[in-house]
Amino acid sequence: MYDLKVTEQHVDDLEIKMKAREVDVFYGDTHAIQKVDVDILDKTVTAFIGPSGCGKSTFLRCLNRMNDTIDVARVDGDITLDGEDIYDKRVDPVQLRAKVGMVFQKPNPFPKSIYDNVAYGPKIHGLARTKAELDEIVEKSLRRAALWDEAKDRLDQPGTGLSGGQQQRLCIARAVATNPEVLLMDEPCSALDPIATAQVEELIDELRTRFSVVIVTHSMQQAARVSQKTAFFHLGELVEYDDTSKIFTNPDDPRTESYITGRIG
Amino acid sequence: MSDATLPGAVPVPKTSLLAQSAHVRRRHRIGAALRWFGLASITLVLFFLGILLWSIFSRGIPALFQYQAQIELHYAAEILNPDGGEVSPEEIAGINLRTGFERGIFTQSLRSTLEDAGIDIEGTVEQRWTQEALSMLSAAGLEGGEAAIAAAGAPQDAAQVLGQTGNALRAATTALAGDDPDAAAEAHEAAVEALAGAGFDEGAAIVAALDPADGEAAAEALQATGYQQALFDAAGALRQPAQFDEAALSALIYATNRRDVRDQLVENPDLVGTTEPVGVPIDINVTRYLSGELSGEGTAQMPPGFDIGQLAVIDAMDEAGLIEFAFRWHFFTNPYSQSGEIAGIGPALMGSAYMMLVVLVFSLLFGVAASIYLEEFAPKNRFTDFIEINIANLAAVPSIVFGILGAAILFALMDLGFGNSIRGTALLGGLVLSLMTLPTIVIATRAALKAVPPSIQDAALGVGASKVQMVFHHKLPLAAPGILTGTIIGIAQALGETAPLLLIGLSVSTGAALLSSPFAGGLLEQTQSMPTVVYLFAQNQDAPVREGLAQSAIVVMLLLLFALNILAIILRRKFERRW
Repeated sequence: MYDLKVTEQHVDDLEIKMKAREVDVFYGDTHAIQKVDVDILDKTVTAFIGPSGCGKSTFLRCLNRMNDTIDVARVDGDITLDGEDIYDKRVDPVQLRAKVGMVFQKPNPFPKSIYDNVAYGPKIHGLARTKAELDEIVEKSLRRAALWDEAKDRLDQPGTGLSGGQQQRLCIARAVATNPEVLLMDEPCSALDPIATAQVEELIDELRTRFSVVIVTHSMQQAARVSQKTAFFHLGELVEYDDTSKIFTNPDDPRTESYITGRIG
Repeated sequence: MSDATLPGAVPVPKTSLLAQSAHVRRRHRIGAALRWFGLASITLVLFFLGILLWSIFSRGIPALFQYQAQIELHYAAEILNPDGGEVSPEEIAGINLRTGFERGIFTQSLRSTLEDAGIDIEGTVEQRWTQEALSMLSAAGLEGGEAAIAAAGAPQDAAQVLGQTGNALRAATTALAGDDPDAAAEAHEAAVEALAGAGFDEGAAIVAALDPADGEAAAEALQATGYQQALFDAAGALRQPAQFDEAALSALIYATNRRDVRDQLVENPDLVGTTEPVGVPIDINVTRYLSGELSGEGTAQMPPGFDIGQLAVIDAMDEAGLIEFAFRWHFFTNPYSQSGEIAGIGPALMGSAYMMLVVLVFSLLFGVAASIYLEEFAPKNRFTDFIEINIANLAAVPSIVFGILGAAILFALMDLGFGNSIRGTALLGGLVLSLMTLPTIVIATRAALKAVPPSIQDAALGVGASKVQMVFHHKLPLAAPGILTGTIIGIAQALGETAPLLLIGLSVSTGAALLSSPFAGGLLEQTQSMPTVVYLFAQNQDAPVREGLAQSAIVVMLLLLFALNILAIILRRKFERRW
């Protein structure tokens, strides 16, 4: 494991963007997440790693209340964004999701044109008053997602006609079009080939300059490559949360060490 | 380390790939049997479908054509006003359709048209009956009747001569069987003379050869010749031409548009005295003779209510080129009528179209709204489960039950003072059909909404769309092809539904508005529908209507359904999205 290249960290001086305290998630009678405490830092890539079914995706979906769509799911504990409780009764999940965008495991562009895919979010949130403004947002978002050069001549063609990696970058463009503060990514590269993966990873690193990125991944190499902070989940518990370099070189918990050296999971 | 390497593992026996094992052979046998079973089922279904379509189209398509007499219709002033002088619109309006127009204008025009074409109507009828009489006589062995009939002059007189001869034969038979030998000999003599006098020399010789002394035997032999019956029959046939009157001529055609003609004359009295060519339908039973379905020989092959004299006139008209085989355009505009010549499906088409409109608006609106609520917004609890089960149950309720419900509401409304006018209206029919179609649309819509991939829902919610936006911007457009298909199938089903419409009075064909104008419409007019008009046609007293026009109406209905289904396929193809 020591051959992994670990990005240099200078994160101590960054402020906390999202704070989770004693978060429990239940699916019916199943206790999926137990007492998780995590601080998501601003302008940082935070990776959630752990074996399948350990609850890392579930926890990620708590951060923008996507679990609300599942009837049997129940979330306890406090999660705040800039000090505001996102589970407060007064919070409209729609506004929250504009601030906390999400990219999913499988590229899921709308069966519409590339332009409409990116413009949809700004449209429903009223971010553009004129067509020119909307055009500008679309171009900016596609540029941020490193898709502009490939897509600028085919904006009116369906987003579903792009290749897998392009589709995923389109989804990222769609997510950043609403100017989110936090970007959640649920295994964004698991359906992509190594070249597309490399492009997306590079993109994630660039996105860090503007957003706080939380990424769930199965690939420890990927976590090591793109993240500055890493949280290791196991059986619904947060086992260890620390700087990525520390997790991968000198973890405190023996379970973390077992996992990153391939003995459990 | 797996169990395979443990000591004591049973070695797998060697088999060849080139030989099929018993197990594989069995699998192939089952596969082949299933394939044959499937093929056989499809063949059977296609066979019956073929029979169905053939029987409908082979009868329905010809019935869309009609034999029409080409008549110079003359609006004769002397018929419209027998007293002479001016004919006022009020007077025309008061003229009886049957006597004044059908028997009057139409029949007189038919007569004059035939005469202009060089057809001697009475002569034709006479000739045909004379021929018939002669063939009756010669069938009994009485040759030489031509001379007797020609000698007698008018058929009436010939009938008299033949009748007297028959009477003489009857008297002879009675006398021969009696006890008086003298009277028998005298009557025998008289009979022979009568036959000879009428020109039946051969017959006279045969009768003369009978021995009056052996009375019983002679009487039986005389009876056995059948001369007497043949003579009476022939006499009867020769009396027929005198029976041929205006009614017999009038019966050949159906004065289809007599009401229109009267209305036209009332509106424009200047037309009185003018002439225009029109095609008037031949009586529907006579058309069976023209089409060769009935040969006109013997009672069984005679169109009911007609005789050979009338058929002779038809033959003459046909020969003179006065009869045309024309497309029955009015079938699509006329209302239903007992008379097949003018019956049509105009109001039924309009009524069905109106009802489809009502069904589309109500069942699509409420169906889609209910589905979206149940699928996306309703909490999952026992109450919504109960609703779901009952919607599925509703789809299985027989249509007649909806009809009963509609009838109950109808009678309640009638009691409330809406009166008879709401009976059989398109709105009422459409509402009953909507109720029937609703579950179909709800089930199709929910299935279509369920089929939208959850990733689209995630994508929409993830970018910050509200639930309503997610449904209306993303799920509904993606579900639209499925919803459309379900809707069109539901509407097609409703288009063919008969039972509930019969119950709420859509088979009543007495709406005044319906008769005065075929397209009298609006949702609140009494109307008909395609399936109920098929039902009415199938109940008609005339065989050509039962076996022809009913099928024609079915053909129209089938074509409409095919069109709807093709529309469904096109729409589905057009809006289908892949992801």
